[in-house]
Amino acid sequence: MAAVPKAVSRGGPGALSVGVRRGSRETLVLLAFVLIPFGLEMFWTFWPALNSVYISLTQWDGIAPPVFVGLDNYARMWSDETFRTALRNTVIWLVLFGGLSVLGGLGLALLLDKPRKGIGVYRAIFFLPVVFSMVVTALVWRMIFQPDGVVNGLLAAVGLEDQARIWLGEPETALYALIVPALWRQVGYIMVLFLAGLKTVDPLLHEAAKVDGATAFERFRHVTLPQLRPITTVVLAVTVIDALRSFDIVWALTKGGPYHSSELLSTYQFSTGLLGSQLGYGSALAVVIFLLTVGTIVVYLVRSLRDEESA
Amino acid sequence: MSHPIVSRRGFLAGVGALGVASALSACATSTPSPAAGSGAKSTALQLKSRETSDGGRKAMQALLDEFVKANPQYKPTLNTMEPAAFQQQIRADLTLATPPDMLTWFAGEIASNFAKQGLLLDATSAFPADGYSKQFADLSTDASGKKIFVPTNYYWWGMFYRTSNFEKWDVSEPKTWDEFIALCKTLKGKGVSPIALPLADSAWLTASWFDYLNLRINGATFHRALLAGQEAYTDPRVAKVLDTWREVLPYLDPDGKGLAFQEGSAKWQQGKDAMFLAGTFLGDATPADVKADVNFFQFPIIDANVPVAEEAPLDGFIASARTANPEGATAFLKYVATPQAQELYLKTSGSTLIPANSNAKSPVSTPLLEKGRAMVASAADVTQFFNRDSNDDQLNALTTALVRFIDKPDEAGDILKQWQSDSAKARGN
Repeated sequence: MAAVPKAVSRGGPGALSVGVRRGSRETLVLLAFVLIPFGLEMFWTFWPALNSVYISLTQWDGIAPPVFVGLDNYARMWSDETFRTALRNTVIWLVLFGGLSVLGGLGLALLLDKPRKGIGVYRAIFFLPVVFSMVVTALVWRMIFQPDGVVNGLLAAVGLEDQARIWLGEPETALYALIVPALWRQVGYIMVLFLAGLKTVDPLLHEAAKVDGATAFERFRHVTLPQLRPITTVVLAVTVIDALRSFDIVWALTKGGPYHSSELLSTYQFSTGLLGSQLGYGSALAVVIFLLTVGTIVVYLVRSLRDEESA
Repeated sequence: MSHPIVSRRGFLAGVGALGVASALSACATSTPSPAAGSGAKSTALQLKSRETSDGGRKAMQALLDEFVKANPQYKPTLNTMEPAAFQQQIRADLTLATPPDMLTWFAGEIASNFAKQGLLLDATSAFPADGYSKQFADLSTDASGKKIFVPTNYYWWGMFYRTSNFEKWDVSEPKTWDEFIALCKTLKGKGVSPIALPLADSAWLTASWFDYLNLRINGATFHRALLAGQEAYTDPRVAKVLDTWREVLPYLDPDGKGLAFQEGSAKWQQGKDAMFLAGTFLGDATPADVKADVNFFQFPIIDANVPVAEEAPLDGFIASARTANPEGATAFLKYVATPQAQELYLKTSGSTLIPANSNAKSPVSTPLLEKGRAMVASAADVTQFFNRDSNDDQLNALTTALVRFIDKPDEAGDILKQWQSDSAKARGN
């Protein structure tokens, strides 16, 4: 918005009549550049979002006129056991999927950072899962997790038959069995981001630290990590968003089952609002997911920006 | 210099105008009013179908082609959509200002609901006076007595097995529940897993067990009342259903909860699982050389005093109340109700289905088909299927409860309480 007054005064006081005319045209163009994308954004993003906030306050099956019910849908969540399971699973997902993918990605990036013979092949191997569509990934992992699939076959081969399970079919294991393929993919992606970040680390600092007698860990802690800070901000924001919007792998493998034990907020929202006909409750769930995502991101960005300012 | 700026501005203004125009017409919860009668009479007719199989698609096209021969004034088109997407969109489709004129659909609660909202064309004039049994005619009628659905064919559910395998294991079809349990025990003794129930992507199959057990133990009247929400799942009669089911849980293939429907039916076909409670689609999916070996028996009788009811899901057509061409849509419905049309459809599609019009003959009559037809014809009552007699929200509540029950039968009391609460919440939307 600050660009507009600046553009108006750009004509300058000298060539007044020409300047004003040119200035006003530029103003119009500039205004158009601001207002039209803003309008489109309003229409395509905020208007539907506001609509779903409105729908979340109603009881609506998609056909009959919606009935306004106030905050009933939100109140219903408190007594909804499935919602609590989905919320708990989403938190577990955020912590395990988010945490492990960042640690794994950073670890891999550190291992594969130094130029070595054939390093490209290793990087490619770890990045490869990112290339596959999630649905294809799900097909492969479904076979791996099958009752007579690879996992149970390996367990039997090492004499652990009694540990064999139906990984995706038992409520105790389903959620964790889903996190594995999600991680398998995400780690490669995070690795690439960190590899790019590591390229910006000044090797001279490492040299200096080495001369001063710093151990490898101390160099990582006090030289590498601080310089990775900008990329870490990006990685954490991406991870939180990816974790909260995770849907495809769960839907493709278990659809949130067995009996809601691997339900995430995203899958629960989809099955109530879109597959079922409870658009009001489904929208209320969507609003909760929206608030969680935006809330986490805003809190995180505000903190990291403040850190940067004070640094 | 000014030229490109002006044209760019013009372009942007145009884009903006588009946005505003669509914004004005869009409000998420508004339902457009029916299309105002356009001056010129429309000749286009769109049939939206969820028959995605090769045979099904050809058969739909064959229906339209034959229809045009008799009614050259219409220009019908076929729009086929994958069933899950079709099901999701039908609500939107029926409320469009320019909807598809005719749609494939099924008898049951959802169609009645559409009719209650005034979304379906009155098909009374298209409905033939004779040819349909009273059951089918009733299923095609809405609360106000109008016909809103034209049934064309149905299939049946049963306990499917392979004849050669039963011979190999030296066992025969059971009639009663006790015989059924004894059969399961014998099979298990021979190292065969008695019952297939793949749940990984088809937990809805549990509904077939619930439907049949409830029909056999408590009868169709209670079943309907339960599904309509007039009875509660916490009722001791429902608890009895679960208690009875519990007797066969040890005979379910324990791998079932990790298998998808395809994998489960392959296992059944290979004879690793002996029996599969399913619809005729199970046999349709087998290779040609196996088809003749596919057989079924009626779901065992549990209480001889309860009138026998069978599941015979009825498929057919509906027409949208907002169609721009009600005469054309009605003419099409009239055509598909005829024996000729139903025979043509079954001949072209090659599926194991029975024509709904009793004057129609099955073009390919197999012993399996005749056995199925006889079973449904002798039934005292006919139900559709759990989610056809209720809706998909109710089906969700059911699968949650029953998959948990298979896993933890000791928690039955808790499960039924949860089921009742889920069901009531879904009913309140």
